[in-house]
Amino acid sequence: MNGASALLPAVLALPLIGAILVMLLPKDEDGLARGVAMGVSLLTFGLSLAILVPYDINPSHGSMQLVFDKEWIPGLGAHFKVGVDGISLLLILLTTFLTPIILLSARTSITSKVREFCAIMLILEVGMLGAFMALDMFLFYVFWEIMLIPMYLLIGIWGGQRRIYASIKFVIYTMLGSLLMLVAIFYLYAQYGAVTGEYTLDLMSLDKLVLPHNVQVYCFLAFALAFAIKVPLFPLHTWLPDAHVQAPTAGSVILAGVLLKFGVYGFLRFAMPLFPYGAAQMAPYIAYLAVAGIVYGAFVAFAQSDVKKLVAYSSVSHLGFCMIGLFALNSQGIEGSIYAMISHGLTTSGLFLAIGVVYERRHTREMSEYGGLWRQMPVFAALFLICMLGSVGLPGLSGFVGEFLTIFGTFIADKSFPVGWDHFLPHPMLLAAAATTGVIFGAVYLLYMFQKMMFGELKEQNKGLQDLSWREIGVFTPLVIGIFVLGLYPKPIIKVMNPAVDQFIRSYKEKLAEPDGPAHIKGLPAPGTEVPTAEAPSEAGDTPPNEAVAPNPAHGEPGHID
Amino acid sequence: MEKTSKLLFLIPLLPLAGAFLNLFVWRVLSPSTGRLRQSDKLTHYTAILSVLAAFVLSCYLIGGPLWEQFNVWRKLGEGKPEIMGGLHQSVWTWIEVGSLKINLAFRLDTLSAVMLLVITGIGTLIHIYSVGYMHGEKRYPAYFGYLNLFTGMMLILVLGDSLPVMFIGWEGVGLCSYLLIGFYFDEDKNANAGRKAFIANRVGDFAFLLGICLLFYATKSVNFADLQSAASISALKDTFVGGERMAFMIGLLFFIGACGKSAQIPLYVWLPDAMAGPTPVSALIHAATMVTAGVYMIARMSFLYAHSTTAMAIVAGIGALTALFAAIMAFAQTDLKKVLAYSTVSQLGFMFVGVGIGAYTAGVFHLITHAFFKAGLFLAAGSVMHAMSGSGDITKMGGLRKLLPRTHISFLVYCLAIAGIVPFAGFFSKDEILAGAFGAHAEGWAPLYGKFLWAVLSVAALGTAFYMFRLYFLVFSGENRADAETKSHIHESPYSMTIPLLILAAFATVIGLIGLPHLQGVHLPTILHDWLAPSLVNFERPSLLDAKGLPSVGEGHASDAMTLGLMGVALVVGMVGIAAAYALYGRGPSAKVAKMCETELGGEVHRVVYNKFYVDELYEASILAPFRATARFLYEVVDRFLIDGIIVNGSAYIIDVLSRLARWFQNGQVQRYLVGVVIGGALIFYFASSPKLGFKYEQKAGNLVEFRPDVGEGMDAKGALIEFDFDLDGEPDHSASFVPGQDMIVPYSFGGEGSYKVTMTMTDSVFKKKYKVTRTVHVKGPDTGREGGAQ
Repeated sequence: MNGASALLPAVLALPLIGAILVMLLPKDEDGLARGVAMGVSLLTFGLSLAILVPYDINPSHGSMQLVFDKEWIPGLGAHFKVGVDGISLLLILLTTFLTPIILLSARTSITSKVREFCAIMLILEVGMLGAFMALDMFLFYVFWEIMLIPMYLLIGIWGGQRRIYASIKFVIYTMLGSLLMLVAIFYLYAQYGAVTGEYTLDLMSLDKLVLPHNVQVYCFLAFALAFAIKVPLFPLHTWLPDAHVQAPTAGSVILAGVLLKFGVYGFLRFAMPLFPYGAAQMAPYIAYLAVAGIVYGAFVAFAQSDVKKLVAYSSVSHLGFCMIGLFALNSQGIEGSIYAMISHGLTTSGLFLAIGVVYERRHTREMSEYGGLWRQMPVFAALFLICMLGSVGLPGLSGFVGEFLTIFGTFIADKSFPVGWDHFLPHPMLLAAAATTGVIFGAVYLLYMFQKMMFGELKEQNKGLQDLSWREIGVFTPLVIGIFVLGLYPKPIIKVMNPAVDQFIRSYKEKLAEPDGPAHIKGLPAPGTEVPTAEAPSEAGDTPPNEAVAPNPAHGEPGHID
Repeated sequence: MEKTSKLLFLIPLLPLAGAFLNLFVWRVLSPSTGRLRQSDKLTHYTAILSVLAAFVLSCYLIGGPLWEQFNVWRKLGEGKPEIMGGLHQSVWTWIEVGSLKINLAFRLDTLSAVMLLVITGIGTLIHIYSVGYMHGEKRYPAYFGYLNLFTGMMLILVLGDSLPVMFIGWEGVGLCSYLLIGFYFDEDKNANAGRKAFIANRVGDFAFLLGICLLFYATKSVNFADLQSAASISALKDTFVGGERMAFMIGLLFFIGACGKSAQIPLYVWLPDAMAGPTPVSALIHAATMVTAGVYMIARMSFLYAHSTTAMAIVAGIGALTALFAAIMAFAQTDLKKVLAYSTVSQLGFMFVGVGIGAYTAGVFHLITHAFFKAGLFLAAGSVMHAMSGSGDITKMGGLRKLLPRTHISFLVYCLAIAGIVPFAGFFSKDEILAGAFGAHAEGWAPLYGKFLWAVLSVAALGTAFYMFRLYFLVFSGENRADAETKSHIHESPYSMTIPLLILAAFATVIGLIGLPHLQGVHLPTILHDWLAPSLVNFERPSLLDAKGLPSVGEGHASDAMTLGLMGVALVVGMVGIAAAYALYGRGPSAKVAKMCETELGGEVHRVVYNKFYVDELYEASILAPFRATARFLYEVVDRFLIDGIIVNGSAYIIDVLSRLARWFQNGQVQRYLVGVVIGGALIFYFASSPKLGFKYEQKAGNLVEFRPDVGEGMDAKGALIEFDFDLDGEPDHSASFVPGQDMIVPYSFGGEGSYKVTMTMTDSVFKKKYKVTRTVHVKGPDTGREGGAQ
């Protein structure tokens, strides 16, 4: 363990210390609280950028770097173990990048309990960063739950009219989903202990455990429920519009910008690598739900008159692209999915901030209340337009790269590789085509929104609106620059994630190729394999026969849709 | 044979930089940041110079390195490479994931060179024209910024070395089109038109994206050079769905993309509405450049289309139908720009027939000539509307010949060009398409398909001459029909507007000479044909010809008499159209037409044509209204009611009810708890005493079967009476008391092989409750023992 490995705990500790510091400030020193929080969040961003210095961009293998490991709860085998790979690093940077922007945007929108707000934002940042870094299941679970509390408070205290309903719905929904995951974590823990005699919650160790196929399906489902709610995957999405609409702008931005990504991240980091067979079995179903979400989210977004709800539903649609890319299980699909997450973090944050700007001025989210704002607020219009187009997926802006890669990955998905695809129609190509309709629908509802708000005649009640202040321009500028840079020069980001994704696919394939049978460590025979157990044959009816694992050369032949 | 050029990226970058300066830098730097005013001069000089610089640079690169390469290529003898690479520059790697690698790379070959000259050349003229036309506009910098942005995007589109890079430009021009159509966005109508354009284009882009995916799936490459390799071509010949080749499906997808951008049936509806934008925009984007992108794309991918005659037939067929259909719709329009819009749709149809029948040169040739005369027509229309206080209603015009002399003369030249009168530009290009269609035939096509296309196009050409001269006569001859107020303001436009008009008119007169017909007797120079040969599929590239490939389009096959005869027919068709227009509209609005419209049939026909065959209404009813209804339904019923109301909040409600119930028990009264204890105890006792009853059997030697009662885990099995009834007579055949822990075996011999119903009864010793289970026992013949179990 060298000095660099203390970097990640430092990134985690910084906002935590900041939060404590903010709470220690005198009560009505709002400006000071904002200043301290801002300074701390900027420092955190700087420190997280510093991760790139010791970080090896081209590792010979895509495994974790800068690992920090300290025993935490010895009785349980839980460690305080954190580390990053290309995937989590990017999401960490997204988090630390968005936090100061949110704090800056809240300068005028949050005016009561400022000190508490700043502290909560910093604690939320700790929770998010911790969950992205955690390499110990228990630690992850703790951070995962920690995130809920500040978010709950954020909606519950600074939210809109129905904030209590929305915040309770948000918390209960998420908690409910994660309980089954906890059960599955303990099952995994027990199984690993039973096989190796060593009881640990270390992700890298647990990753080596191969469970019987049918058990994998159950465990995968337990994890998937938790993450699918977070994504949110259709039809588990109804908490999202409520939470978004009721949350203050800062809450909406952090929710859309980072929190939703935990769903996809969870699939990528936990559910899929731990239970590859289960993931492969469920892949078509999840892909269907993802495509359904893309189309459904777009339709429902179009039906909204509340602009914030519209953007909230657009997240359902956009995250559908992330999910379908993930289950294409090739590098294009998965990297597209990660890219789409980052881009969504920028564009949708931009849209929510833009809504926040007009909401602060007019205190309504009804689109019909606006109109013709371009004449009155040209600078705002231009920035809003860029965020909107980024979200539409205009090539050259960030949204396109992710969208294109996910569609592309799905389209060329090898349907003989994940076992699930094999049994299922339609062909991945048709699924990709269905997802691509999202490209049309995305333009339909976002352009409709933009027209309703920015074009048309300027209404009497909007004639006094002020264009953006320098502070507000400062809020948008980093996002807009990000949208352009990510759209035109995606290379560095793809380069960072590439080794990790390759590693993911490699180990996924390896693990998937393991034969069915009692729980065992990857590459090793199961303990007591000489004695045929009574269980294995009797379960044969529940899962497809073993040969389904082997790619069937008859399928996936190029040039045909069967 | 390709050469690397370091300057290529500057061609699109220059206009983009102009846009960046006008939209952003000047505004930030301008002293009064509050109002965001920057001087008009700074704005339009920036804009014009950036496009002009791109034009000059294009001329330099085409005239210098590319010309050299072309000459070298031409002089190569046998075995020369079929493709001349042109100039190439890779700026950086855009997207690289796994096997997919997309470079942000540009390529200047002879085909893109032609487009480059059209875009930057006509673009410069239109920028200059805009100075006069947009004078006094509040959002002057925005206008020029968008126009520059458009030019840059269009240049990316034509220079893109791979389909994804082309797609950047493809969508980018769509965005500029959206912004410029909706430039006067105060009116909802204009903003709607912009949105309609963007969404119709997006429908096309949907197919374009899938086309890219499928192309990669088939050939593992997306850039044009690799796609023309032998391996890729052979992959395109593989069979795909429906017995058609891969090339068919890919070609179809890209053609749908082209339909969106180039306003073909069924996606043409956005273009007439797009006239809501400023007129120079209509000239540049919706006539000369952007809308021809689809034609360019198909020409660029000629190697693909050449491998599916079905795809070619569809392209040509849709093109011909669009040409005719749009020409008819142009008959009854009363708005100057609307007529021109339908005319554009119609002319684009001609171009698609050209590329569809494999006469790629002809299609591109018409694209060039059309760019000149149609851009000119729009600019002239702008000049007319400028004079008429902004109105485009042709029923209120007339007699402008004397008042707008320079506009008039150029307008007349454009009309002659589009009507196909010799020697104006449109004559040669249109004739080449018509002659090509007449002689076209390919394997798999219906007999006379080429003749059919020719006939449809000839009728469309007749219509073209008619509606263009109807327009000309209504605007320029006869008496002026405007009101006095407007009349007093009529004036010729400033030179910044009329000089571009005259330049375009000069080109519209002579540009046709670059594509003189092939005659066997006299050798005429065929400049364009030779120039495009290394970039397009043609008969000089035999590797691209195969049985189901490029149709023979009569190029070089037809006799001189045939060629000249077809030219004559085309010319006559044009003349007839003009004569008919003169007869009806020579002196202003026609009384004859008015009379015809009063008859029942005439009125009906006029109404249908005037309302553009109600296609917009049809789309509204069949697509848009259901879309909105579905959206509402999904939100109100599925989302709010079903998912959120019933499933999510419903389950929460159930939990709520249950917890109220639980609360009632736990109210702190010891008596109530005691009742609970008693009831609970009784329930436990009752349920626990219900055994899971069953028995197993095993066939022993012969027909002897051993039965083993299974009394489950109930507490009351002890001492229970077990009875078996083997013969269904209701009387127990065997009875015994059950002793836990002791194996109880009941043997019984059946009569023989077969199935028997056996009933086991258990009577517990405390409550004397009886449990009964009956099941069928299969007794197999001798030697085939069998085990079974039942619960």
